[in-house]
Amino acid sequence: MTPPGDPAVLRIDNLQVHYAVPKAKGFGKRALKAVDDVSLSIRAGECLGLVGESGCGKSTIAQAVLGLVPISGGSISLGGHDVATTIRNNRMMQARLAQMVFQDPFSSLNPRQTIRQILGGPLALHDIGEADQRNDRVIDMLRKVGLKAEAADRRPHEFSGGQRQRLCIARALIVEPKLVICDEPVSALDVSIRAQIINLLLELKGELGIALLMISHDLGVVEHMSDRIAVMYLGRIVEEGGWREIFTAPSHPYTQALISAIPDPMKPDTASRRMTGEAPSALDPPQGCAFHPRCTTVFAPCRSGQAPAFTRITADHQARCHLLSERPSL
Amino acid sequence: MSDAPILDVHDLSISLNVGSRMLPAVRNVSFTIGRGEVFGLVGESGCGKSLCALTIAGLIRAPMQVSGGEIRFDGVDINRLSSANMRRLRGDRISMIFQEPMTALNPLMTVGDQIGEMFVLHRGMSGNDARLRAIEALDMVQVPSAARRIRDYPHQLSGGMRQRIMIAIALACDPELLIADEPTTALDVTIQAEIVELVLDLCKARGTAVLMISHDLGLVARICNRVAVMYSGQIVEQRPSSAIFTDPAHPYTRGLVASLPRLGRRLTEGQTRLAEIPGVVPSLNEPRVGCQFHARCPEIMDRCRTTVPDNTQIANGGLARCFLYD
Amino acid sequence: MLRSNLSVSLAVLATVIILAVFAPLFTTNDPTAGNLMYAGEPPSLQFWFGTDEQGRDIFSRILFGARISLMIGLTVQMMNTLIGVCLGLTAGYFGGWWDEFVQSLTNLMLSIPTVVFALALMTVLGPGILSLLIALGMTDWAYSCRISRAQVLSLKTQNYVQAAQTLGYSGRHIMFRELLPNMAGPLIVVATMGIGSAIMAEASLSFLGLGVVPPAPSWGAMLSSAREQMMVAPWIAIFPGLALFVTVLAFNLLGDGLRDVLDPQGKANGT
Repeated sequence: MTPPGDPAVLRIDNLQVHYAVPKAKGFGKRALKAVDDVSLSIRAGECLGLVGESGCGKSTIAQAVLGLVPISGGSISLGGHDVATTIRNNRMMQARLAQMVFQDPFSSLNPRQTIRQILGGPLALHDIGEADQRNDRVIDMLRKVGLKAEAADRRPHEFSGGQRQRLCIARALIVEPKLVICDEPVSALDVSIRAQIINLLLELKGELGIALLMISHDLGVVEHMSDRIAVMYLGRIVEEGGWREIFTAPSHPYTQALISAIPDPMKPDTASRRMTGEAPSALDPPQGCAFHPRCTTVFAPCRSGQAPAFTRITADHQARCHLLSERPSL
Repeated sequence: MSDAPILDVHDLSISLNVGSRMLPAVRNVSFTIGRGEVFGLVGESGCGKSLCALTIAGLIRAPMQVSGGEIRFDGVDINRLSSANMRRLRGDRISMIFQEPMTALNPLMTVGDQIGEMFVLHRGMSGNDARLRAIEALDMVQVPSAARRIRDYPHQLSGGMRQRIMIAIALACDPELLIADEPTTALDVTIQAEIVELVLDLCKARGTAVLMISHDLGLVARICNRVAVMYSGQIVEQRPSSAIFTDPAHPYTRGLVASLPRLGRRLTEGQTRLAEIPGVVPSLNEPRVGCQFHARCPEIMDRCRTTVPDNTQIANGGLARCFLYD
Repeated sequence: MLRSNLSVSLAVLATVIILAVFAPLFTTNDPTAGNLMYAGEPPSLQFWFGTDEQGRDIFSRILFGARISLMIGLTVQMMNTLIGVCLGLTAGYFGGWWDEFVQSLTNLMLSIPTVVFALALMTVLGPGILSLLIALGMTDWAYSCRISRAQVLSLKTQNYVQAAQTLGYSGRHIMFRELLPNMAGPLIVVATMGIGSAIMAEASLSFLGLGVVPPAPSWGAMLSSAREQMMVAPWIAIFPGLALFVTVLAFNLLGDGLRDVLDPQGKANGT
C-alpha cells in the first residue's frame, strides 16, 4: 500500500470516519460524517498543525490514527504499517509508533502512581533497554523534559500544571514513538507557562527527530510550531500548505476568517474579514461548500452541488474553494 | 457627579480562611472605572482576578472573606449594603457574565423566562410585558428568530447562543457596570470576536462601564481603554491599553508579552525560542516576603527579596509595582 | 461533628474486636456449658449480664458471639465485594453484552430481598456456618457492583486511562492498576456499611434457626431463644440486642466517616 522508502511517518489517504446516529425524527439511522475525505502526511522531524473549530473532526483524526475509532473508508499508515489491518490488532506495535499528549494535564496522570511507575512501567511493558538501566532511562527522560531526578519518587499531585504537562510529554516519549499527537497541549496551561512547553516540544522535536501532529485552535501557537498547516472545517480539510504560505497568502475564506479573528493589538483591526454565525452541525451539513452560509465571498456555485475540490495554488499549497477555480462573474 | 467614577476599588484585600490561618488571596488592589469605560483585568489562573469580580458583585462566600479596603459603586460602599440592598443592586445596576454559560443558566427554564425574570424582578413588570421585553432583548443580542427562541431551553442552544442569552440577561436592566469574567474563553476563536464586539457595542450604546476579566492579554489590550495586570493577588501594572503591548513596564508584563506566540512573529524573527518566564506562580501557602515576582524576575535587585514595592507612577499615566521605577 | 463519627465508631469497633479476640481473658464462665441451677439469673456480680434459660452466662455468650458475628460479617462482605467489584469492573470496562448481562443480574438481585434469597439458599444448603457464609456472601454484592461500574465509567474518560491504552497496556493492567486503585475510596465506604448489614443478616437467619447451630453462641440465635422469656427475663434479649445494635451502628458510622475523609469533595467543603 505505502510505497517503499516513503519518508512519511504518518500518511492518511482519503480517510473517512462516519458514525451511524439515530435520526432526529422517525426511525432509522443516518451517517454523521465526522471526518470526510481527509488526506495528510507528516514526515519525521516535521510538525503538522491541524486547525479548526470545536467539532470540526480534528480530534477524531487523532483517535483514528491511534486506532481508537473504526475507519469507514480510506487508509491510515503509520511508519509503513496499515492502521486498520495491522496496528488495530496490535496495541503494542501501535504504542511504539504513536503516542499522545492530552489537553488537560490534571487528568492525564494516574494520581495513585509515582512518576517512576508512570514512566518506568511502559519501559518494562515494551521491554525497552536492560532492566537495570530502566531507572537511568527514567531519570534521563525527566532531565530531557526539564525536571529534576528527584521528581521520580513523587506523585502527580505534587506538580503544577506546567510540570505535569512536562511529565505527560515524558511519558509519551519514553517508548520512543515515531509520531506524537498533541491535542491542544498548552490551552489548559497558564499563559506564562505556555512558552515553556512550546519551547520544550520544539526542542524535543529537533533533538529526537519525531513527527508532531499539533491539534489546536490557537493559530498563534500553530504558526509558531508548525512546518505545515491543515485547516479543517466540518470534517474536511479546506486548506493545506506550508506555514509560510498559509499565513502570508491564506486562500480559503475560512482560513482568512480564522486568522483575522485573533485579537492582536499590534495589528490594525481586520473586522472586514470576519465571518458571522456559527459552524453548522456535522449532522446536517449545508449543500455545496459547507462553509457557504458563513462565507463573506459566497457566489452561486458554492450553494449547490458537490463540495469544491482542491485547487493547487503553489507546489505546496492547496485549498478547496470555488473562488480559486472559477472567478465569479462580477 | 457624573465624572466621578462608577466603581472605585480602594486597597481591597481578600483572604482565604483555612482553619485559623488567613491566606492572602488578593492584596491591596486599587483601581477605578469611569462611567462607560472599558477596563481590563488580566492575569493567570489563581491570580485573584475572578475573586475581585465576585467581591464587586457582592457574591463572595466563605471561606473567602474581604479583609480590608472598600469598594464604592457610584459612591456607595457595597460592603456596608445589606444583602437585600445588594441583591437589588445586582442584576439591575451591576450585572455579570460568566465563562461557562451552560452552568450559569438554569437548565429547567426557557431562555425567555430567564430573561423575562429580570424585568419582573427589577422592573416589576407583568409576565406578558416581560415576555415582550425578552424578545426585544434577544433581538438586541442578534439571536435569529427571537420570538421562537424564547421557548428554547439552554441545552437546545450552542455555546455562542447561550453566551448571547447571558448577555441579554446581563444587559436587560441597562446596568451601569457589567462584569465580564472570561466571557469568551469557552468559545471558539471565530465566535469569540463576534461576542466581544457585541458586548462592547451594546455597552457603548447604553453607556455601561465594563470590567473585562481575562487571561488573554491580546484581547484585553485591543478592546479596553485601560488595563491592569494582576500577579499573585496584586496589581503589578496599570496602564492605558495602547502602552501595555508596546511598552510593558513591569518585568512580569514584559515577560508575558514576550512569551506570547503572536501572528507574524515567525516571519520576522524566525522560529526562535519563545521568551520564557522561568519558574512557577508562588502558591498561596508560601510565606510572602518582598515582591511577589522576585523569584521569577530577570531584573531582581536586593531589596526585591525583602520589601514589597509600592505603586509607582510611570510615564503615560501608568502605575507599576516595581522598584525599577522608584 | 463528622470527625467525631469516625473516632467514636473506631473506638467502639476497636473495643468490640478486642473483646471478641481476647474473649477468654475477659470471661470466667463457659459460654456453652449451662448450669440449670443458675437458669434465668438476673444481672449480678457473678453474671454481669445475667444468665439465660439454660443457665449460660450471657456476657460470655455475647463476647464469644461477637467472634462469630465479626467473622461472618467480614468474610461475607469480602466475598460480596470481590464478586461485586469483579462484575462491576469488567462490566464497566468491556461494556457490550457482558455489561447488559451484569446489569440485569444486578437488578434481579436488587429486586429480591437479600435475606429472602439467602433463606432460599439456606434451605437447600442446610443450616451451619459454611452454608451461611455461602448464602450471604453470594447475595449482597449488587451495591458494590453498581458502584464499581459507575466509577469505571467515570474514570474511563480520564486521560490517564486513555494514555495507558495508547501505551499498549493490557485490559487487565488498566483495570487493576489504573482503575481499581482510584475507585478504592467509595468501595471501602460501601464495604464498611455492608459489614453491618451482613452481621444483621446473619442475626436474622440465626434468629430463624437457619444460621449458627446451637449451642454455639450467636447474637441472632440468642435473641431467638430469648423471645419466650421476654416478659420474665428481659435481660436475655436486651443484651444481645444491644450488642447487635451498637456493632451495626458503629460499622455504619465508620462508613459515613470514611466517606467524608475519602471523598475529596466533602473534604473541600469541610475546610
